[in-house]
Amino acid sequence: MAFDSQGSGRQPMMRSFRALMTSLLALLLLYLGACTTVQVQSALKSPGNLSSGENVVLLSNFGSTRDFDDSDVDNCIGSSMRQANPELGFVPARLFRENLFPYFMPGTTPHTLEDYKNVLNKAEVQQRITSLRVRYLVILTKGGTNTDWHGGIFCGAGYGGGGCLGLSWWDRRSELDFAVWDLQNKSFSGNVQASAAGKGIMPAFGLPIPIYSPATESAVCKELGARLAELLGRQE
Amino acid sequence: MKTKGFMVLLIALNLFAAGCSVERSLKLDARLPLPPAVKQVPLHIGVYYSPEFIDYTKKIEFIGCGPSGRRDSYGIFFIFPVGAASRDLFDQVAAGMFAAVTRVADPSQPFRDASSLDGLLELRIESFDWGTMCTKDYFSTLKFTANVRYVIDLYNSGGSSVASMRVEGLGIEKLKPCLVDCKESLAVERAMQDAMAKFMIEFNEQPEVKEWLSTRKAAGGNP
Repeated sequence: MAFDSQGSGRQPMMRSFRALMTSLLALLLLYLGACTTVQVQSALKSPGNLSSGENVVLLSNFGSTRDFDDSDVDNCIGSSMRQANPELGFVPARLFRENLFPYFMPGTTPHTLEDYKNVLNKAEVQQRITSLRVRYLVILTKGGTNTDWHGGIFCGAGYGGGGCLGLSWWDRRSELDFAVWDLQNKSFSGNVQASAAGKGIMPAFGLPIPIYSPATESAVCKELGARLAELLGRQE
Repeated sequence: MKTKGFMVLLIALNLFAAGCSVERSLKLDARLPLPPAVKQVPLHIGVYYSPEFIDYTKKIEFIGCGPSGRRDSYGIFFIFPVGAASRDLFDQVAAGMFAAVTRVADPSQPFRDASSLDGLLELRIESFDWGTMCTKDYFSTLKFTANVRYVIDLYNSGGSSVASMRVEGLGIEKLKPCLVDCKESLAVERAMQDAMAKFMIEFNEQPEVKEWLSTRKAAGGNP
């Protein structure tokens, strides 16, 4: 009997504890739901007339950022472009660079409109571009991720053991900017850029455990790839 | 006693380090899979590579990345045969730039041996550097960086200097796991190709070279 009466006394306490935990979890989920926001901007002058058989090439640019190489660019936007539009044709970056040597090397990549015109007006260059059937060059012009840490976690250890206590959170912002060149018409088609911001959170009660880490870079890649596939893949 | 113990430890560490150090000579092949996309100049050019140039190698220690960008030494040394690889690449570059190219064995008398030459190019390696970059995050990632600087001298058919060009190439490559059929250049081939690409583009833009080219073309050249 005594056991039953103790149990009935705990019930309201348990209920309020559950309610508190549920509301905390709901608040946390709400907070996390709004954690990563992506913004995409595109300004293409002449989007969308990629004919069948024409290809796109995706390049990194060491002059702009050294954090991304060709394979990073392909992993970033290439995979989501293929997913969004499986009919898009691509020329591998390595094949393009091999064909266009000495142009498009780290130290010889054109930057300005005039540079591009100078390169694209060369008969040998046009011949190689035509043989590869490359219509659009999508080249990285800006890219990177910044993280700002806030809060603090304090850790200590003694003979009896150790542990950490505190709360850290961080703001992460990723930004990527691509220029699109129409190599057949020897013209600049425009820019496509995207940025994503998110908050990460890591409480420490004993051990620091990150409960949310915003994947800003992959969010930017996905959105940019989908937008580029849509813009370049429209048929005439 | 303490000093003795310290000395023994130091000797043991030295022996351990000496026993564990590894040297590895890389096989560099920076040659291009396709001829360069440039217009050939209708001239016959001689190319001279000095024995010092061909034998140029450099031994550099590999410094790895520990947690949070810590620099760790493992006693691994790489030997880079930059000279021989640069010669092979420049042979290809010169053949792409000029209608005819001849290797010259003795630069003091190039025009007696091959009187049809319009000019002579001589290459020197001014500097070569190789290393690693580590990211600062806890699971630090590694990138190889290579930098090569060439001096390329052009002499006219009379043996007088026309121009001297300095070109620099940069290569950056991520560390990629590879078990079979690996092509290890550790960013060096890219740096060499980058420098040569600059040379190909900038050569015709040098005022001295432009002037020399115009006189040679007016003379009909020796393609």
